[in-house]
Amino acid sequence: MNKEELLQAVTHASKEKQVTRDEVVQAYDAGLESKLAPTEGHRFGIAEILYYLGGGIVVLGIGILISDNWEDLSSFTRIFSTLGSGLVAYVVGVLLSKQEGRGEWGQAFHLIAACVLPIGLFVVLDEMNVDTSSYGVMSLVYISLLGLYLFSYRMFQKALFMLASIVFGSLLFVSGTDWLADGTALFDTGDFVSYQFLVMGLTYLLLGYGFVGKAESALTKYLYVFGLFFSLGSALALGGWSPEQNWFWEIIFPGLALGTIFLSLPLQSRSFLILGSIFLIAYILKITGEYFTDSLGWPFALVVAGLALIGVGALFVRLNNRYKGIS
Amino acid sequence: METEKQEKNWSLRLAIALPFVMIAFVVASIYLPRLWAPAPKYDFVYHDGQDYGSAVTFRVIDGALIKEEVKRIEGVYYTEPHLYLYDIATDNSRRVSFEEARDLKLDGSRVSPDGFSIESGIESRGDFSGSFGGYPKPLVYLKGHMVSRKLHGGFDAEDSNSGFQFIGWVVK
Repeated sequence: MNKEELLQAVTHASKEKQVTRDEVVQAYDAGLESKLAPTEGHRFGIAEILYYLGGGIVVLGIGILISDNWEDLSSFTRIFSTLGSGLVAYVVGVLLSKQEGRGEWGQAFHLIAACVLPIGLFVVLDEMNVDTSSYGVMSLVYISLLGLYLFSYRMFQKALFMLASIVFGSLLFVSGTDWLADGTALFDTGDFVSYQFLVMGLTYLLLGYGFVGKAESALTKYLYVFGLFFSLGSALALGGWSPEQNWFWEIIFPGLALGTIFLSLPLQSRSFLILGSIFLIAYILKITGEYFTDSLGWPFALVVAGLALIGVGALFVRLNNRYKGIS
Repeated sequence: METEKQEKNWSLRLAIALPFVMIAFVVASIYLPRLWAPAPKYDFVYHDGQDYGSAVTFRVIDGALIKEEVKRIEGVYYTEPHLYLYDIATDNSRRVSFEEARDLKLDGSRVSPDGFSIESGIESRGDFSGSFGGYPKPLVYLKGHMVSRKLHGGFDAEDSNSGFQFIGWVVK
């Protein structure tokens, strides 16, 4: 079958609704080595790990070199060495990604660009005597980078650009809400940060679920992990500590943790099982330490906590046995 | 298959909508109460001394400002605090002498007659070049009627002692 016949077959199958666009894209991606595999089970090879490690070490080296000689550098050199490096790394990454067999090199340079570009933008603003520690300025930098990486994702369809968009989007969300709430009673409450991370955590979980079966599905596992840490961690923190506890969050948290554990089945995600169990254990220990150590005595509180942990462990093993072979 | 795809698309839409929902909530909780909160009417007097190391303390007794010398301990460095009158209408303060402040009728309560109070803290701000820590300046908020407003004027004057100690409301 030549290329023309193959493309006509795809067109015919599309008209007959025998295949969807995503299925065609997945089949295409599976044939290429330079793109991330479109399944949640993608594993990083040694080469990829080394490429990314190398990129991280390059960023570290640039950072140390510049910071050691910062006072001796002129404004132009400061901007050139930071923003300039970032832009060069971005362009090199784009050029390398277009070449067969050199895609991972391109990814490493994109990682360098994503780390160095924000530093470069802050340097430019600092050299213009703009207050770089204000939330408004930080929001401006992050929205610029979010725009750049969303545009890059649209043009080049790389999962790394989606990851960078999520990171800068998160930073924009935090700095933007801090900017809005700064100077108000809302901002002064310690709970404001917890609510920010709760919303981010839920967003990551929804994104992770939405990416399943799509080209970005390699990000799903990591979005689930960070999403669960942020959302369950925030919910636990919002419960507070006696006598200033928040009854609403303390009462619903075990439901959230158990719900997370049981969601691991339909979502087929071991991350939900493991993290749900860890946070449920943390909750048990917190409640024991908060309410039972003074009234029932420390030894009895430990017995209660131990029995509860045995129960959680039994549930974990039972559900885990249904996950053999699922990541 | 189509249902599952629609579910995932809804998940993505909800993921993008959720941060905007929180932003809308934050904006509503900040700006809506301002629509019905009364405007603050009372100026107040404060000094820029710190909790410790001030050479004098100020109190309001029977509506009048009283100054008391602090018993000095040898080896401790004491600063002379400066008095300020904060104009709530213009959101700015000016330095006043003790004699000028003594002529004002003051209310030493934490809460003003129109239901507002002053809360303060210390801000530490670094700059990007790495000299973290910065020079602390007071953060002062006017709170009341579910509204909180940062006060901006005059807390970081060059010759200020960088402290903030509320003394009393000017009730004229």
